[in-house]
Amino acid sequence: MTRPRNPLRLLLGELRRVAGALSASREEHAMREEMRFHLDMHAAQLREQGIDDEEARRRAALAFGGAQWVEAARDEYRSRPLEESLRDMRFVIRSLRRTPAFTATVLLTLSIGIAAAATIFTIVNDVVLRPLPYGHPAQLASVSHDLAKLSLDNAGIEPAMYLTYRQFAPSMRDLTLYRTFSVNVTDADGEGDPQLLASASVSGNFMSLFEVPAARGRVLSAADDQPGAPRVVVISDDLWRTRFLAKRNVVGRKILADGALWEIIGVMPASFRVPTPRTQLWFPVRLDTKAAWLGGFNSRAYARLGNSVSLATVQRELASVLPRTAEAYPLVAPGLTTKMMLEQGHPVPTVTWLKDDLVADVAPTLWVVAAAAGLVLLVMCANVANLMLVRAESRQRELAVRAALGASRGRLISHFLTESLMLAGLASIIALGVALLAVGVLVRSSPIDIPRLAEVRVDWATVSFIVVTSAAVAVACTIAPAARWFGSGVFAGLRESGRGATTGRGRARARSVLVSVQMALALVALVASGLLLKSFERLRAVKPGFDPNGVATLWVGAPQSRYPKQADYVRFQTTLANRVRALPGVTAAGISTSLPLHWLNHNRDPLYVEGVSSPTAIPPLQIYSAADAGYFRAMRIPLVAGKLFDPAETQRWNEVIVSRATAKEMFGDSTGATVIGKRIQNLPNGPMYTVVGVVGSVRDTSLTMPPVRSVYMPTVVTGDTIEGSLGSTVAVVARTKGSVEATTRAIRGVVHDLDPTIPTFEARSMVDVVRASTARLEFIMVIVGAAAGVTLLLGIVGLYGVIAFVVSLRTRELGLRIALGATPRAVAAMVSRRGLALSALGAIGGTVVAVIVSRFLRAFLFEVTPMDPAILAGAIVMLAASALAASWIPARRAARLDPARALRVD
Amino acid sequence: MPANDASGDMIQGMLDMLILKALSLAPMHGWGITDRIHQWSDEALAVNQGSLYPALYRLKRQGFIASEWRTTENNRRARYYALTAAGRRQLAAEQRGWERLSRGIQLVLGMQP
Repeated sequence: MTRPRNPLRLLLGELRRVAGALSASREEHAMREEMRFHLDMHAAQLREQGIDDEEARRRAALAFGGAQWVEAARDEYRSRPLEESLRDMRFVIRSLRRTPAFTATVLLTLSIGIAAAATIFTIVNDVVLRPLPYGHPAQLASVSHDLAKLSLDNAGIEPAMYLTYRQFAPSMRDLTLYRTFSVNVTDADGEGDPQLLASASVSGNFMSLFEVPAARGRVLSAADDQPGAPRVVVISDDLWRTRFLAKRNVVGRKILADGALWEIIGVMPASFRVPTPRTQLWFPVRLDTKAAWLGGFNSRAYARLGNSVSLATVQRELASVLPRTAEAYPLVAPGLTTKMMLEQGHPVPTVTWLKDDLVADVAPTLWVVAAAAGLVLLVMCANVANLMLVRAESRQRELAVRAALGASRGRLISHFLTESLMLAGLASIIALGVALLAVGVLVRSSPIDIPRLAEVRVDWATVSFIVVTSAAVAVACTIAPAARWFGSGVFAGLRESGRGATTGRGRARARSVLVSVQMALALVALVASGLLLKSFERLRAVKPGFDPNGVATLWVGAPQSRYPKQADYVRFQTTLANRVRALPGVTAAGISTSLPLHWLNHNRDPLYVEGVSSPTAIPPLQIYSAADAGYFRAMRIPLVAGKLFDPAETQRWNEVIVSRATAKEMFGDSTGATVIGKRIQNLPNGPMYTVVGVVGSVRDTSLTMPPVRSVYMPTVVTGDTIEGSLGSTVAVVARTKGSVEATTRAIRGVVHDLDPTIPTFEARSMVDVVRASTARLEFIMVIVGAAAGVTLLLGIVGLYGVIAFVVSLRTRELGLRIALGATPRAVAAMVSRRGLALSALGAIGGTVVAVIVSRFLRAFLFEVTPMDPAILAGAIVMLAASALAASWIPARRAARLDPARALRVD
Repeated sequence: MPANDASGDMIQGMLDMLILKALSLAPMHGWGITDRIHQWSDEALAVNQGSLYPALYRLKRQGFIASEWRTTENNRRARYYALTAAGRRQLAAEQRGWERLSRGIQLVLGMQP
């Protein structure tokens, strides 16, 4: 051999040596013992012939011979399996290199399929399945309430309930209260960049409940949580690194938050991500237990349950102690008793495992995406199995000859397996690389809001998933050709290569089954994506009650805390609105405390109609927000009756505007005309407000929900009114003829100009706000759509392959038919019929599966039933059209056969 | 693979056959096989240990014989070899082949020119 030693060869040699050395010692020992026994027996025999012991030993040793043959024996003895598999590997590498197109196709298909599955697996595993990074995570739960009577689902908890539960519910080891809000932070001297930061006010046991110690300094304690205790705060790792540049002396420093000085006592580790991953500051709630109240259910609670306590037990216990809240805390508000609230609102305690609660929103989405990835992997697997079959076909003679020469079934199967394993192994290495990239991109760009995303990383779980998946794929892909091969008998290949007209039918059948399965899966994916697409279109067609096009929005942090005096605040707000209105291109601009379809500041309160509502019955809840006239103009929310608010300087605090839904449901007048001048209260003994206008209804909470009853208060705040609770941040809304981005920048400039200590945030066009509310559906739709595209494409390729193969098998027969006068049309029809028959089989199976599977999509569907007949029909038509296209090309080729040549084909 | 063995050297093929034959009676250890062949051949054939053990390992790898550690009647540990079903078939095939071959050789040698 003059060939230079290539690296692979060297590697194989090295492998052999290592494997030999590893197993050497045990075998060596056994061999020695066997040899020694032989010598002893020989010597014993010689002794029996009367030869003395020493001589007998000498002769036996002499007869045994030198050590040269021991080496030969050793060679025969060990590392043969390895040698054989190495031989297989070398053989496979050679044959794969001879067919680069096949190898590349299989590698590409498998890598994409495995990479997609591994990426989704990593995310699902880390987000949904993995235990939370806190102490004894299986004991953690969250506590909320359903108030079905007031159509308030998943409402939080009230401090009064929290205190009651703590006192009377022993099945919870601990319970902690929190509320999230945004706070405007600057340095202690009022200098430094103002930042609006996500914060939580929590009870003193918050961190100890999670059993997480501070990374530096200390966590909050019960003492910090007393009313009147020194103002202390714990900050996040992120804030420590960004604002305090990871300085060691941060503990003991002070910050100015919403106008008050707070001393930093500790820094939490980066892994502490409750209540939200964005939380930067934890303030003690400093709850006054004597003045606790019931109200808007804006607080939330986490619990640590005892070992092996069931959620149902805790829920029952909480429900039974809940009425005791009224004993210690009899009043919700003046005129509204706790007893009334409990009886009429009928809050039902709901306890959820924290892990499930954190991902409750996103888990169904992830599972659907995982199902899509699994489907794609399945179809790719079928495709590769099909390719392997084709490959086995083309090598039937070679394999038959090997079988005839005595290669056992085991050897042939091990050859197939080696080939699949090597391909799957290579593919899984590529897939690992792709998954690393994809997970990185997903974590950084996060197309949808996924909790725990920061915990997602490719680790050994991903690697083992890839290894297991690729091994399973390899085995599955081996079974197809191997089963085909041995089903027809090892030597069939030699017999079938004769001139029979019906050869290969059996193998065509195996491939037909695979193709039908692919078509069935493609139909399932098509139906799913059709349902989602239709839902999305329906959702897009929903009129939200405002016109989002050309509207810029920007949130301004907490101006009231900066301007506690009414006059100063009115001046700030008026100047801000006027300056924005004066910006070039801006046609209307205003201010509001909440935006439709945006998560901030949606407060719900009851609405009492003067002279109609009974003070002892809690009336339906409304969304209360504050807005000025410019807001309605900018959003093009139509005025139905009455008038909009006056300019801030002249606006009276006791006027309100209601939505048409409120007018209709609370006053029975959808024209609104008779509602003007009516008086309302938000509490039985609260101040009276007069309705001055009725505006069009807006889908405030979700495009999928009917318009909500809304009440708009003026943005002018006076002492003892509801506006105080309407959130301290406001949104500036401007309609522009020009670029929305430029307008947003200009508004930010106006705010900075007016007061550089006020932070701005969440600058988004209203179109983006609307789009964000459908982002999850859009994400799923794109993923499932892509899966449908890929499965359909692979199905078509598979179908094309089978039909082309069948044509090649029947060339002689078809030539004969043409020679005997069959028209090209008839021949083409005959061939395409087979493709259509396969697709029809697939369509039937796929319909059954789709009907079962589409039910799981129900949560994502909007105005579409899971068994929408039009979509099913459309998907079948699409499948049939694709099948026709895939069969048409080989059918055309069959129709154009030259009979004279066809009959000569070997 | 039998195909390879047929083209291999005759001595090795003969030895394999003799070993299989020796084991067809009862499982035996390496020394016992040598002894048995020695006796059965009326002391005409002496199997060289240098060929015996490589042949045993080869036959084992081919699945014609299996091995097991047992104690002898003298209470010593020894590796015993036994014929497998495949080995029994192989022996039958080789025996047929050998009979054909030796009859052919005898015919040739017995030819009176």
